[in-house]
Amino acid sequence: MPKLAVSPRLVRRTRFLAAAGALVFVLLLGASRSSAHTAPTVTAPPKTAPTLPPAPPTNRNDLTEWLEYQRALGSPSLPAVAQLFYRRGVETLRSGGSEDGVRMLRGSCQLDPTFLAPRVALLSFFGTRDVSQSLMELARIVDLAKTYFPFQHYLTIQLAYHGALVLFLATLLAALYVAWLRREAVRHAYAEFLSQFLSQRLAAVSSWALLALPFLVGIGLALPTLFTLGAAWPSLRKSERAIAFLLLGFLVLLPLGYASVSPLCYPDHPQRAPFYGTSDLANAPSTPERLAELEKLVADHPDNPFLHFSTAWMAYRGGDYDLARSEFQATQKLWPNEPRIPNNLGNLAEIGGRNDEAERMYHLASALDPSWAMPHYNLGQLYTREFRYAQASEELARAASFDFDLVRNLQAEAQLHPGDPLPPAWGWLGPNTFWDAMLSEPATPSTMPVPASWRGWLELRGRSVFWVTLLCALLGIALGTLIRTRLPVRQCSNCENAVCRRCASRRRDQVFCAGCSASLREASTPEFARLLLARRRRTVRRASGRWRTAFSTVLPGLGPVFVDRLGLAWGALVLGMAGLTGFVGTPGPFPYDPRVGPLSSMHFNWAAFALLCLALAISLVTYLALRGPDKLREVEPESIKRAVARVPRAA
Amino acid sequence: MALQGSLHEFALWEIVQLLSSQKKTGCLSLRNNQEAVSIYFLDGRIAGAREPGLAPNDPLMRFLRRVRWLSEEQLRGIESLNAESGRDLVDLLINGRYVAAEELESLYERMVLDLIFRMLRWESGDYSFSAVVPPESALRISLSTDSILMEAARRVDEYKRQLQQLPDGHLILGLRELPDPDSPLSDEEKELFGLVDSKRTLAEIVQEAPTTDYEAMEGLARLLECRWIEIVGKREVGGEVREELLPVPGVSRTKEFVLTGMLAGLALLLLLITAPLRSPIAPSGLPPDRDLDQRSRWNDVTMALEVYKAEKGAYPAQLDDLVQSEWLHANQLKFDGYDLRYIRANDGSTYRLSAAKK
Repeated sequence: MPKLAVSPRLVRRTRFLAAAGALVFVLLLGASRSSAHTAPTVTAPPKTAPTLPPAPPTNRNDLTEWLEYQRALGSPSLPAVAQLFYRRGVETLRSGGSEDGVRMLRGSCQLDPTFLAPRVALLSFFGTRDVSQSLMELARIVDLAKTYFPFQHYLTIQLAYHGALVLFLATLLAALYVAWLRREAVRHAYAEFLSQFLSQRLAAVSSWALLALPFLVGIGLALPTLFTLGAAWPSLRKSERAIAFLLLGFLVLLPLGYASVSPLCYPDHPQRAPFYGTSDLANAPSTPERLAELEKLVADHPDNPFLHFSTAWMAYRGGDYDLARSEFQATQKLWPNEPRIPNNLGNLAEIGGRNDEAERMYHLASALDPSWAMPHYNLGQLYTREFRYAQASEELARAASFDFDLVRNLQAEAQLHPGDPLPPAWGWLGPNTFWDAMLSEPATPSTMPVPASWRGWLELRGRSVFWVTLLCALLGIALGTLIRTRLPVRQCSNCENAVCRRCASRRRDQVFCAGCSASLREASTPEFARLLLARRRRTVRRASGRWRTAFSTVLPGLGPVFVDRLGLAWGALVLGMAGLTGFVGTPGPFPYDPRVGPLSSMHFNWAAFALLCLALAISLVTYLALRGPDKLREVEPESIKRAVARVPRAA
Repeated sequence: MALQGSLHEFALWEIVQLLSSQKKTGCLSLRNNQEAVSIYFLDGRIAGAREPGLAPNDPLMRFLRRVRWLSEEQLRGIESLNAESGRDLVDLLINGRYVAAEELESLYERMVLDLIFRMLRWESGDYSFSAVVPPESALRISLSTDSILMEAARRVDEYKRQLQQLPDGHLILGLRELPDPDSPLSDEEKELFGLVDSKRTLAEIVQEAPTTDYEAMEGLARLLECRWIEIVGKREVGGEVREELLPVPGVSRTKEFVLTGMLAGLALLLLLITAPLRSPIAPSGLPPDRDLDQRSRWNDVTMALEVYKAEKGAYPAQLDDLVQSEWLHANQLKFDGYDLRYIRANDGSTYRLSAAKK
């Protein structure tokens, strides 16, 4: 039988419509069943006085009882209980009880849907056992990141903080490597200067001391590195100068940039505008104390829409619908274009039996955001209760087409208690609203210009070190210019040792160190001179090759520096520093989950360690592949010919 | 004698231009008190500047010696060969494989340029032109008089500028800085670096340089402009050649002691100057629940209390219970400048947590 050619897109659409249709049918059925229990006409408004809260479970170790308790409360998040079952889940998994452990971790996620740690634990647990489950957990984390503002805020700040830290560390290390490689350009000049006043040996020792002095006075690593690079500036190649500039840029711009956005870099605080600790109230349980706090804040800041909205939200969750209505109305005056407010007002009107008002509000909400599913869903519920099934079906289908997951989740919630009316959908503020408010909030001067974890880095403290940074760079360049003018230090044309005009032997435009010059003097023909110079070059190179290889093995990014691949070295360092900071778990400006129980201990991140190893491998392989037998610049044969011709022969 | 006279009446470039425009063939002889030069023309183009054979003052031989193209040993060998066989110098150079014909052509052109340049600077002298056929040679030369004259005129102008930069042959030149290895340098300029040693005078360098006088001056002027060399002094007429640089005088123990002390003082000074930078940033002084930095830790404590209650049914009797039950680490209970005060109700249902200044 020939098969019909059907496009996959059509198949998907058909399946989606079938699923949506089935869902609408189930919803209508549920609604009609519920409407059979409740009178469709106007009923007395519910009592505004909150009912007595249900008692916590007697068996505190039973997850099911806790979940029942949560539902009885109206499904607020229970973060403390979630922490409890997270720890138990982790401990159970460690002791080999996979099934119970996973159940507890999933329960922990249910108890607090915004709790990240159990989702990450499940993601890593399933990572090697069941990839599909692992991907589902990942999808849930991504979903949380898409919808929950505090998580978005945390991720943004963490990414910016760690990105800046990794780039800074990579640049600092690259600059340190360059400073170490070019140290002789500065130290040789120091030694030559000091030898006017000190014996040769003491001058050599003192030159090392002078070189190391900036690093020993306790002003960190970056400023002395910047100074040393400035002093070696005339000897630096273009790529090395770029690294020096990059380091200066980081030292200057990082604290300044942070200071300008510091209000964004702290979590929501109860005493700080614009949110006053309200950004994470979406699932928070309502308590009289919290409500009283919010009312006080509203009285103090009557123009803050977040406070009005949060008060209304808490009041609705606590059952105080009058207060909720008045506060939502107050918010509506401040945010006339926010569709969630008429949607929630519609819900309150429906609860109060004012169906006409509810319908008007839902229509207003859907007009403000036509592609938002919630008012259509609520409208569908309203029509069902009024036995307007055709319109209800249309609205529910529309809601399902806009947001299938929302409708499915609400339906799933309703199925837990068959017979109860389907719950209305309440809209909490979207992340964009928070971001807009946060970015438009005028920057308040912060007493702490950089995050606490940066204060150990003296160089990043901000304005106080800004001028010192510039001074270090300028002093370094001034010293480098002075050295360049007074006693230019060059590299031996053969072995690349540092030489100056006092200690170099010059042959035409070539300079040779004492050792190479001695080799040249031994030669009677240009060919023999080339041979001797190459031999000496190999000897010098072999001597340095051992420690170069040793250090390239343990320090990421150093290998490419030795073979003049500074860009690659910087890339490897970025990779390595990302791995290192991830491995040791550098604390960010603020944590997302409270550091309680297992989260209070430091855990090594072995995936990040693998990244560090990868960076090490890249740099080592680059070094071994490119170092070659002898990569030093060869002296031109013609130059040697002329040089030999002018060397006074030994008797 | 077809044409003769004094260089006062007709300048050299006018005579050469005339011969070139008339496409004359013959020999132009020029003479002053010190030197006599013959230049052969063929149809108005320069066809040679020397007599056949190897005269004692052969300009080509003199040029090769000047630019050190051949060693003295090689030149002596050529002279002896000429004495034995009477063969022309050009013939000996090419067939003896001392120099390739193309190279010799280039050298010949340099030589003629140098000759014309020198003659243009003569202040007096006589000239005569006779219509003779240029002698046969193993190397056929045919140089455009126009280009030679233009280049020679440029050299005269440049030479004046160079004399402004390096006016005195007694100036002593020293190395200021060697050029970067990648800097474009001619071979002659590289040679000059070997002669600039803060001992030789300008005249000595020009004399010893394996180039013509003008080329040496041009090279030195460029090195001076690029600030690779500098004028380090001037030798008095009749003065001695400066010997090696004076050795660094010996240092005394006292001097060493003082300088070492100064270095140590510098280290101490740096330590003192940078002390304010090293001082830790003062805490905000706000209680932990209001301090931006410590608030997250404060939240950790309150969360741990709630978790403890969820686990045990009551808040802990003391905060250390949180540490013992491994909900917190001990250092999480420490706050900058504040001590935690924890009071629990007898039934464990409520608590009061506050921070008091130390």
